[in-house]
Amino acid sequence: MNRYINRELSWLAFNERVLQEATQASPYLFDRFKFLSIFASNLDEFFMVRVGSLKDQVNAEYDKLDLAGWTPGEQIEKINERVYPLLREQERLFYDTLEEAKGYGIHFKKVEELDKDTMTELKKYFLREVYPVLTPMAIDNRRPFPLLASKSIYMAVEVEEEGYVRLALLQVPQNLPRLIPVGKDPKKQEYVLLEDVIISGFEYLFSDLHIRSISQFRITRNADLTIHEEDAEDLLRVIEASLMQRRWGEVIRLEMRKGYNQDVMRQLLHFFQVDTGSVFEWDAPLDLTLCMGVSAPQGTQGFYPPRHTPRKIASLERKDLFAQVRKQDLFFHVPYDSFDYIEEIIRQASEDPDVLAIKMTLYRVNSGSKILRNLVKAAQRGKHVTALFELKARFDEEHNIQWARELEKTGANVLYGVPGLKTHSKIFLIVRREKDGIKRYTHLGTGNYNSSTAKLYTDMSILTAREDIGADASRFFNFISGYGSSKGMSRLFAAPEFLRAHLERLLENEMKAAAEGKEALVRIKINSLVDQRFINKLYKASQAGVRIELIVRGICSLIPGVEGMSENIEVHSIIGEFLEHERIYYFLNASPDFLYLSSADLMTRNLDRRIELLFPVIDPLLQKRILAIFDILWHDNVKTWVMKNDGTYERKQASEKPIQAHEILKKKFSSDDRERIRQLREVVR
Amino acid sequence: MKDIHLFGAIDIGSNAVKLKIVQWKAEVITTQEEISQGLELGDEVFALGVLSKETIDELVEILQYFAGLLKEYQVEQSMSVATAALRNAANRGLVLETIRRKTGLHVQIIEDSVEKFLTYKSMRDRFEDFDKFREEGSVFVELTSSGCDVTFYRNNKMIRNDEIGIGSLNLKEALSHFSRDTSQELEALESYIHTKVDYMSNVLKKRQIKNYMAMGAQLNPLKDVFFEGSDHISARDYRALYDQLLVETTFFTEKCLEAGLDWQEVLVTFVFFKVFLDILRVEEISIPHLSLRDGVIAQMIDESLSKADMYRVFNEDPFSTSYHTAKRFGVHTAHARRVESSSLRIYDALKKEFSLTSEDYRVLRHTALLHEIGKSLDLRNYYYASASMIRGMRIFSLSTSQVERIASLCDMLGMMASGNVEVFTRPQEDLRLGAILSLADALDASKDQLIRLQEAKIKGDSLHLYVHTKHMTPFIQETLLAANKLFENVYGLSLEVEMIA
Repeated sequence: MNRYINRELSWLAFNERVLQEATQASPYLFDRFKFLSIFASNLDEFFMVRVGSLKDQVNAEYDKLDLAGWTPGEQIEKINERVYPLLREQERLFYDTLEEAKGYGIHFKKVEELDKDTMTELKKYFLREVYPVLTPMAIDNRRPFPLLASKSIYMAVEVEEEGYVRLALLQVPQNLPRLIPVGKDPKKQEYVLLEDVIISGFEYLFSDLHIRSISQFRITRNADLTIHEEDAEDLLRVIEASLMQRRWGEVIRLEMRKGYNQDVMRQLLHFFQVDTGSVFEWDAPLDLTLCMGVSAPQGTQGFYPPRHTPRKIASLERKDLFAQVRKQDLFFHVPYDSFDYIEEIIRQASEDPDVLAIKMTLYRVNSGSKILRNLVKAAQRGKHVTALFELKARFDEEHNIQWARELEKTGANVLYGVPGLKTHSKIFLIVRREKDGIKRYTHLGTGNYNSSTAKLYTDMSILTAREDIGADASRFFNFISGYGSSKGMSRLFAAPEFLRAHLERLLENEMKAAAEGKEALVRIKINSLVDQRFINKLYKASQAGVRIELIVRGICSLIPGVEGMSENIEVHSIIGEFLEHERIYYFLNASPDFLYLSSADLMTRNLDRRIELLFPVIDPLLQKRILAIFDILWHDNVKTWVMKNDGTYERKQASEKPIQAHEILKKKFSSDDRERIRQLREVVR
Repeated sequence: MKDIHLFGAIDIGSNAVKLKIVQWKAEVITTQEEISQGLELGDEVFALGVLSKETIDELVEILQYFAGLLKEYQVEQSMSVATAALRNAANRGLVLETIRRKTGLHVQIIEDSVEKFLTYKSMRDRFEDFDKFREEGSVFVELTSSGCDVTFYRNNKMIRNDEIGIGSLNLKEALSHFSRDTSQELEALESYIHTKVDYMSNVLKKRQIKNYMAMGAQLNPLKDVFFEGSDHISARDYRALYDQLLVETTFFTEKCLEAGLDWQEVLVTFVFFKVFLDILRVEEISIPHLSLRDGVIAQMIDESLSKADMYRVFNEDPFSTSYHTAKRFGVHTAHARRVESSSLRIYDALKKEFSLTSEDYRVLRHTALLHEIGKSLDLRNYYYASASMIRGMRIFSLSTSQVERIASLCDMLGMMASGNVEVFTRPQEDLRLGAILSLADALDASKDQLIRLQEAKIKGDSLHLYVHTKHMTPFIQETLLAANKLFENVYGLSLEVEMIA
């Protein structure tokens, strides 16, 4: 039996769990549409990045076997085998959900089903909004096949003029709503698809021409960009250039909506240089991310889940946050706690005359970021601002480049990452000159400084005024600025130099404890577990008698519960309202620091090819609180999937007492630290 | 921030450019920033004699970052120093000018003896056992790229400080040479070091040495890689590694390369300190974390916060070594001490009115202690002999120009003693010190310490000397008269000697 699960299949299993949320599992219909959309969008990214990378490997005749012992070509075959049934399942769920949506007055209409008045309105809409942005592109011997954008829907239209058949391509505009609301009944929410509206307006586009066939298709291009940083004189230019390339990378998937013309498909296969194995047929509309746009008629009950409003922290409201941090470490758990405080401390720092410097790493930044706006203000006020923008943050480069340029104009020290290493750590440091000397405030987190994702991703962070952490943070910023090294930090551990070794030491320490007959326990919560070396260490620890509880949301190449290999390892995965994103590491017998948070997953790229941080939770009350949260997550029996020893997952069966971690953690707990811990612990008692 | 001060030090060394920013509060120093950025200036200067444009650009880039941090912390006082590599670079003028223009930093090139003094001064803040170490018989051996220093401490005093002309760069060259000629290159290197330290070896063997402290650029990586980072390495462990190396060196080379180290430099460092371990026959080697930048910071704190007491014993070290040097040359030390104390009292009385500097203070004290060492060579013209000997000496903590001033003062004392009026052609600042020394010398002309200067004070146009004495001998009166004439000519003050009970 293989010791590992292939990472791609493990990822597809994760996405399947996401898709399962679109079943009856969710009581709110909107959630089911949402998960259908997330599934589709996840799959797009998977093809663009992972399948893209495998295709690159095949093209380069790179035959290295993966953990499961498969070549890149074999992996692509296995992926396709797994993806086809998933797509059929997605379609089935889409139609089921649409059917159920009718009960809420939501209807997807065909154009021909519309009444005369609605048709007239739609025609007006077409002529006013759609027609002006449509540009049919004729394909013939004189005109080469145009470059088509990735993830955009196109129509290949065969037109006949005087017995001569030509092909025209038409892009379904991406800047218009895909779902066009029609009808005037306030109790109903009726939609027609944009592509159907366009087809209904063909008479204006192809007047005097006979339409022989319409084939709807969508391509996905390879987005796995390997940037050779060492060769690049200016990293920024390289990234910008590669962004341009990304639009026109190799085609790795061709989706065709049923009803297409076979000849046209053959032409497309030829144009895109893909084989039939890369073609995926759809009965449902292409690109089901459209589901996110579905809404219910006004006043409909039970369609949307109750809106979650992040908690305010009473003790921090309208307060001098610096004074609060001096008293004790502050802990933030988004999206349960508001992200506003993180933004607020940067705002206060930017206006505070005693603040000398603000230093920050930025990975994925939201548009209109308050943090960045305040960093710009701080720099304008003469404070030393250092911002490291990671330009290699996949799909976010354009955003990051804009902000980096903005900040550069103010004279701030803008860094564009460390050559050869992606900077994934999430840290800021505020240096302040106070009455009793220089004081450093350090914020360390598991998630990005992004107020949009902070509403959806669960992340933990700590703001501390501890001097040893501050000194380490200073050293870290010098290191990522290119000066000194990450050696010599006392409480923080940075990848790639020290993080892996430290985790391994902690794991070995647990094995030693187990050998001495002590209770030995490791609890880890991460997004992905792929690193072979660490997996082997976990197997070894399991064999040594260490109990290992893993919450791995996504890819997990480790196989738990196998006699003689991993019988002491249990793996859970939580798929729920929020995207599980905290990285927690706990080692029962470690001392003095035994509980850590981190930006790093247990993937080789995180441990060896990225700059990541592992930081301890030092405050005893916070330690208790985070462990109580881990307990709740571990005991979730509503949204948790348990990995079996054949690598598949099954939903954990809710006992008499259902525990739904996300719902519990959304609740308001006591503002008294000890009482809050008691309340959290009570949940699983 | 009351009574809180921020200091910054930059050290441009042979292998790295280093920055340290500290906060001083209630006599406690806490590090705010500490960076060591590797840059091989030493190798380039050793090979080419100059620094290339690329290296200068790289240096400037590092210093720009450091200057940014000094500004960021609003550091009140900072000092940037450069040592051997820049000192030996033929284009150092251009380098310093480029740095000033592009970073605003004024870098001072300091001499070896000043570097050592500053580095050792950091012992107070960087070596927990420094008082025990100084009290007992201890030896401190430092290996740099260009030289080696051996310092001996006892009774909380630095007794002697000697320089031996081998540095790690020469040793590396020697090792390469031996590797070509013999398969027993380690033994050959060890013998080579023994021949170089032969004289010191004899001196040290005579003394009862209890502690052996070692310092060198490659010593910290060496202990990290081979001795688990311990600051105290037992002689047994050290020798065990050496014995292993005699059998084969591959493991050593591999471990060094793995850690990104220059294995040859680490190896010569290891062998060098092993030689001293054999000489000293102690139980262990201690490796303190002293650094030039810590010393520079100590110096700034000392000078700007008037906390001289904190570093008093370290500030006394240079004078202590001069005293012991004088002793070794058979100088009548009680006289030397008496001249020293009288000179300092007169200096105190005059310093404000005549703007005497702290450098004047140091030069004066050393001259008082060393002015008669020439007697070991020439009893007739011993001042001139002293001057000539001092010119050939290295005095701990003093630059070459300061040593030259001391020698020159000895010359002047000779001229004054023989009534040579040419003495008045000497620079005014030296003349002033010469007049003080001449007066202090006159007060103990009989060399029997019968007269003790209690206090000196300016009153109107006179300098009043309050002295304890049972009686003024005619000889002393005569020498005082001669000194008085000179003193009047230099300071425009007449002398009034008042005897007190």
